[in-house]
Amino acid sequence: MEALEFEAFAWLWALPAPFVVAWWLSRARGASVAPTGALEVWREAGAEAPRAARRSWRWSPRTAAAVASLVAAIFALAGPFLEPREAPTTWSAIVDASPSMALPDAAGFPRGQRAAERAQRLLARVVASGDEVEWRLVSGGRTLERASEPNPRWWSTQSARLGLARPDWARFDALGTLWVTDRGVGTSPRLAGLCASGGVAGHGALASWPGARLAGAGETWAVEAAERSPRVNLAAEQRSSAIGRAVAAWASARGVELVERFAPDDVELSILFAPPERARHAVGARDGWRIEGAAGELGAAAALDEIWARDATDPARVLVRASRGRVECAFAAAHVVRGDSAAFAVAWAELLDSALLPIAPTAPLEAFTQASEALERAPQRPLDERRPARPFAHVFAVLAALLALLATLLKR
Amino acid sequence: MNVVPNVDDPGRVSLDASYVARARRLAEGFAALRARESLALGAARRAGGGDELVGHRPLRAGEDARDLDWELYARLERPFVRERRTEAGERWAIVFDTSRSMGLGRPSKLQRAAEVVGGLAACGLRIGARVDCLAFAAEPGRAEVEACGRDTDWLRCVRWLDGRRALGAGSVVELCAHVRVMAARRVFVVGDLFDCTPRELAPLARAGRSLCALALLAPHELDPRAHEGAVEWVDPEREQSLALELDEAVIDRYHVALRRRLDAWAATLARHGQRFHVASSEAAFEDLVRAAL
Repeated sequence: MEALEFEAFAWLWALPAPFVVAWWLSRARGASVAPTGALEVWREAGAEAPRAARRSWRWSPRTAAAVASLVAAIFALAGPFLEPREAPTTWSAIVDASPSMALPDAAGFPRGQRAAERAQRLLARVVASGDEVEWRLVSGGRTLERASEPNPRWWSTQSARLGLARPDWARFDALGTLWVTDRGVGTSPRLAGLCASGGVAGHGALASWPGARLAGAGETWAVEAAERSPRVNLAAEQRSSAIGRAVAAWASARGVELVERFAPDDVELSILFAPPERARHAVGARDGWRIEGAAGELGAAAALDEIWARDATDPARVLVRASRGRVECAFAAAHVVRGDSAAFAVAWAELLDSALLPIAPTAPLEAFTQASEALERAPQRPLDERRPARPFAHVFAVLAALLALLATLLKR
Repeated sequence: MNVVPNVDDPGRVSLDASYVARARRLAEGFAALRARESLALGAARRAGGGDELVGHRPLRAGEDARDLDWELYARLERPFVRERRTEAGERWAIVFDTSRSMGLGRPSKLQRAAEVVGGLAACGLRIGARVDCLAFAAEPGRAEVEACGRDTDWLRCVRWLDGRRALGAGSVVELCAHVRVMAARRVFVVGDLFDCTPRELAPLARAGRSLCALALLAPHELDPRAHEGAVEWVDPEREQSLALELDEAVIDRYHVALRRRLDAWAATLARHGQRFHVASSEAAFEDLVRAAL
């Protein structure tokens, strides 16, 4: 699509001039005023005459050509050109998924909320009609979630407990992109825009483990006793299985409380087993041990899920996968472990350690020791592959010349 | 460039000494002609009132044949009708159209009409008729009358005509309804007759009254070929206009429409035994007076 534009639009204001001049000339020179007493006779004659003869003033072909020539000349002077229309742009707002986005500012609002509000104001200044904005919650190089608007859940306490990493900003440094974070220090986009809420150094937990956490502010840090033991959801019918026993042994060693049917937000880890329907035999092997038995089908994987064990007979089939706060296992209760059972227990302990969430969110040290300023840099519209503007004033100039020539040749 | 008549100058009558001399010669000639006709036809004159035979004149087209003199026809083989007068002194009324449209033409219709009116008055007075000249007064709707009873009154009539302007507004029909006109035996209406119809003058054509309508048109009204191209026709009386692109076809249609209009005048007045003449303002007034008489 192309739009008609003019380099010197002011010339178009002269467009009525040729018509006014032509009208004036037709009045002044083209027509004679003749008094007569026989007006009724002329009316009679005019009523019988062809319509063309009865027109108030008919421009001669010469006058019409001259007017058209002047109009074309004015258009040529205005410098018309065809400007390719801008294609609608999809702007990307890359939202930092790290826990520091959940830290409260001086007014008690999450830094993420402040950053998102600033980002929305910033985008409103550059987003044109027809453009779209895609908000992406990003950790590392992964996009965890996409939405048309920022989701307050992204900087909730529960989300902060996941302890996700900051985005790998360099991978998102592009025109049409806005980085939304709480900390602008250390982020220096070349092409993308930046919106950082900033934040004051506050009090919080730096690290957490069962029974205790490292908390403080500024230079003062201390190990504090945890409010409660971490909780792990494990169905009672699974506790007697090989995996269940390994989980129970790990929980006992770590001081973790095994619970059943707690809400996901109230536990630090959920051990989930696939339903036994459509279960079939599967073999999982790792670190010198094997596990065999009937295995069901796991649901769709989440963005942060990592595959921990696959079916040895069907590598496409996932038997165990894990993410922070959740371990999903395809095996039913009846499975057997073969090989090194100690290695089996250690492997599962490592898995559970990595998946166990802290009781309360923890944040990197920088969030508590250094205040940061709010930063803003508007994103720039991406350069689309445009065709160059196409001027065509010369067309009107040639047309004006031809019409002027025609006017000189025509009889008045 | 087209010839554009001066709209701002409504026309002003100018009658000089040469006109007076020409008009007197015309009147003398008319009187002599009347005398010769009477003698040649052997018409007896009777002094005093009554239904007097004053002479003969040629039969005109459309005229009632009951007044045809069959004896003369047998002798001369030309149709003549008897002319009578019921009064001892014949009364003439000359209606002079001084409306604004009469100011058009070179010379203006007004000038030529004034000359005709003066010539008619001279002729009438010369043969002993009482002549009343009527024109529009300065006050709208009113008539101005110049009554002449003797031959010596004619110069006063000329002064009345001299300097007159085409500023009147109205139709000659209003003047024709004047009591002086209704009392006259011969009525002459001199104007362009564009502002009235022959039907409107028909009431004048009752028995015993002779009516002659003389339509004086400007040259460009008779033949507008000088105005080819875009022309805005303006009626100076009604201040209306009509824009037309004139070409041969339109001008031909104008000629047809004008001819239709003039023919209607001639036919209507002839049906009532009256006469109608049309002439250009360029014509000599003597010819126009002779045609009217």
